[in-house]
Amino acid sequence: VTPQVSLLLAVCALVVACSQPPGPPLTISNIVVLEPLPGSGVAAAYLEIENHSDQALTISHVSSPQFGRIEIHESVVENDVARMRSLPSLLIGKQTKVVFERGGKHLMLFTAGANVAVGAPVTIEFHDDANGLVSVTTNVRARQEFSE
Amino acid sequence: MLISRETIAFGFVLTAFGGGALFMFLAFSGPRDLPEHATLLPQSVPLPPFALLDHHGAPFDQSSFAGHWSLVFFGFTHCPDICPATLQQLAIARDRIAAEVDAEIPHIVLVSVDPERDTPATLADYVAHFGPDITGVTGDPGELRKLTSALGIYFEKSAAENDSYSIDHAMVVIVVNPAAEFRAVFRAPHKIENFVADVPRIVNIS
Repeated sequence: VTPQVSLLLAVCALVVACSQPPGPPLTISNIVVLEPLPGSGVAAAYLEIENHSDQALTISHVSSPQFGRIEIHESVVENDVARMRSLPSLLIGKQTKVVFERGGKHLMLFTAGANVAVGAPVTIEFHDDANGLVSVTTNVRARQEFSE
Repeated sequence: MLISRETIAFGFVLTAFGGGALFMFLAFSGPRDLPEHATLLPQSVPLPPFALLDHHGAPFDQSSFAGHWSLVFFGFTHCPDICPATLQQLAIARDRIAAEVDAEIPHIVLVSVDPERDTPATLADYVAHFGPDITGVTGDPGELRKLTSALGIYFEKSAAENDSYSIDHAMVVIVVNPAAEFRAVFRAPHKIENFVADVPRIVNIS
């Protein structure tokens, strides 16, 4: 292989790499939607949301065809007192991952549809002000499967 | 002076017996295991008189705690995160105590700090989800305050922007003994292992 051919191959590789479509700026992973609680009917969801872009993104609201309303919440425990607050929106810094987990940030899902039960598919839609809608579909999990 | 073989053998037997006796004495007469995660009250505190309802709508008062150990948690059914997780931890811990430890199995009691929404019927559906023999308690807010004030349990309705208000509340787990007395407390964060390890110790030491 001559130096000229090597150079040509390297240039081709560079062109191919640069021509790859960029990944989505926002990804949702490890999402767990727990079954609605009997009595109150509210449910919770945990997930990881990552901003791959070089600018901060704002999730203005979250929705689902299977639930009447979804709020972004944060639980905080200080001095043995638990406080849960609704967040009007979620700002995610550039190249940053935000983890929604038990005892911390979580989604609170209200007014579940009649078909929302363990194993049923549900779609959660995250409304990103800059890039539009990011949706993810998963199956409802039993709380017993998600103990710690 | 010569020492006979019999004397030496007797000396060995005596030493072994004495050592064994000393081991048994230390093992069984020393202080019993203290809880490592819960705080044991220096002196048990009797529960005050109060009059609430259980999830069947039947009266639930201080005498309802008599005759058995109880793990008491304060929460509300519209809490999607911490309250169900804690109740689930308690239920799992109780199952593990029943299966793994030779100790009295405690009752689990959820006292609602949201009596406005948590009716007995709501609590009945809710507690059944976490297993059998869990009692939900609700009722008149004034009666609820009698119990929470005596136990040092804080709770307060948070500023409501819509109908999904929340309740700030203490998330300790109170241990009540069969004499209906406040005996010990588990502080947050809660772990199943902590309950499994310490509940039998609290029961045994009391």
